[in-house]
Amino acid sequence: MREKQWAEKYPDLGTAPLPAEPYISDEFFALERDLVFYRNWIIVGRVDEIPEAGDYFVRDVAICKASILVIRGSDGVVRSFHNVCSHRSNKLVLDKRGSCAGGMYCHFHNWLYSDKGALVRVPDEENFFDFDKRDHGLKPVITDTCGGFVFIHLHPEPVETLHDYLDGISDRLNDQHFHEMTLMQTYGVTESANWKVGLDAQNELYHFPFQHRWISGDSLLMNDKKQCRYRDVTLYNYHSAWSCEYDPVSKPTPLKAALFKINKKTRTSRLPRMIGDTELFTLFPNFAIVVMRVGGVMTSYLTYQFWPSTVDSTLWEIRIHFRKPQTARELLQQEYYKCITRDTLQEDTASHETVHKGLVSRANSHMILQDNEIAIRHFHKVLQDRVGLHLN
Amino acid sequence: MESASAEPALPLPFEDLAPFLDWALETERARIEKKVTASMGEVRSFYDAMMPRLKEILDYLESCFDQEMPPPDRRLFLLSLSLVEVSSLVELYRQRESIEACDPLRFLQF
Repeated sequence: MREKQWAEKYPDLGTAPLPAEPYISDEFFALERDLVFYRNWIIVGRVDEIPEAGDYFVRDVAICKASILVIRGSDGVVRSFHNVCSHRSNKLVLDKRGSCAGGMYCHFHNWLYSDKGALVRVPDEENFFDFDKRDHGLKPVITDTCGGFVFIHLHPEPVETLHDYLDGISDRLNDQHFHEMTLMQTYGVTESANWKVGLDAQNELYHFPFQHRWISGDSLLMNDKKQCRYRDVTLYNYHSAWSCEYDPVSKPTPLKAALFKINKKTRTSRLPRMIGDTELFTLFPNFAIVVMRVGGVMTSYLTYQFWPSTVDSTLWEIRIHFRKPQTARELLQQEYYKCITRDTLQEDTASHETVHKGLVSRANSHMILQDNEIAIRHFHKVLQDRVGLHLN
Repeated sequence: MESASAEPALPLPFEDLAPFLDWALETERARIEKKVTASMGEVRSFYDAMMPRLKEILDYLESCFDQEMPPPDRRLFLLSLSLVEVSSLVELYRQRESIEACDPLRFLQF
């Protein structure tokens, strides 16, 4: 836990301040749309959301004005399509998720598509001209999976496979046993902030003992100066991962102690540890996974996704996953963790919006980053590389 | 009068919690709304009534977990969820003035 150790590990990143312009510039936002969201692998959901043949969900990628239908076919394969009828471009599926045993009908002229996206039936087909149904299936979107996450690539010709894009982080995702947990809660909040403001805030520990001083300020393991330190930071081509430890001897609140049966003995013996390692994976461009191993008691993971709609409006989607509770106590433990998480993230949303206001004011042309904020530095370098615009 | 009116509102060992039945709320939205509109005194009274009974409540709920709960058991369970909802306000923030956060209802978009 030395100071400035991560800049030593990754000297190429430098230590200079970063420009504020990418958060507030319409021109930069347009480049992000065309060169980042159109031309990178982005996560749209999980395979376990659609376990059965015919199960589907719809994901709006607002920045690209796209509605994506992700569906498991009768052959078990997960595919994605533009959620647009091939006939006159009506929106095909109107609900957010469901199951279509008999295929999907367009409500406009009753064109019917199979769960593999093929056009199956067209009313009054004989009245069309030089028409072959086989030419008019749903428009496919390139799709692949890793660790149970469904990735799409909107541009039809990816410059690299998902495996290459994920670099070494795919092995770490595959190790996490995400499939053993189920979605317990989805939150969504529309923030008046650029999408990177929230992503940055979740990508560093520096703020934790300050911003969250009441709610969870002393739960992370800190050094003797009361500062959080990472146990590890690993940067990949586009992505990053860091890990830290929760403080095993922080004093639990009365409710936490009662729910988790923590007493003085279990607290100070470090075994079983109340909360073990925490890892955060940031998957470029807009996704983060927080894995928490609540040692011996429960394991959970959170996902954050930041969906820009305009340069200053973002949907932050938060999903909380746990193992299926076996007892009422476990369910209430999970509820406790869920509420504390929500309380914490409400504090984050408030500051995302005040930070964005500060950026828009152009009071600061740059932001200064310290060593605990190295993952932010890495993210912005990747972003500037992707849009081909290097600002100083 | 329906015959159900003879049924106790809460399981017998927990009938003394009946004054707090307005915290037995089915949805997260309703529990949040109750938390943010109740006075700090009301929140503390509820917390103080529930906390000493928590172990007993957990033991009781264990026996009916994963089954269709009869309404009195269900209300007891919902009271426990509200206890969890208010705990950070009582135990960590201690006063509403400490909270610098957005409106929690903004998170319930889905």
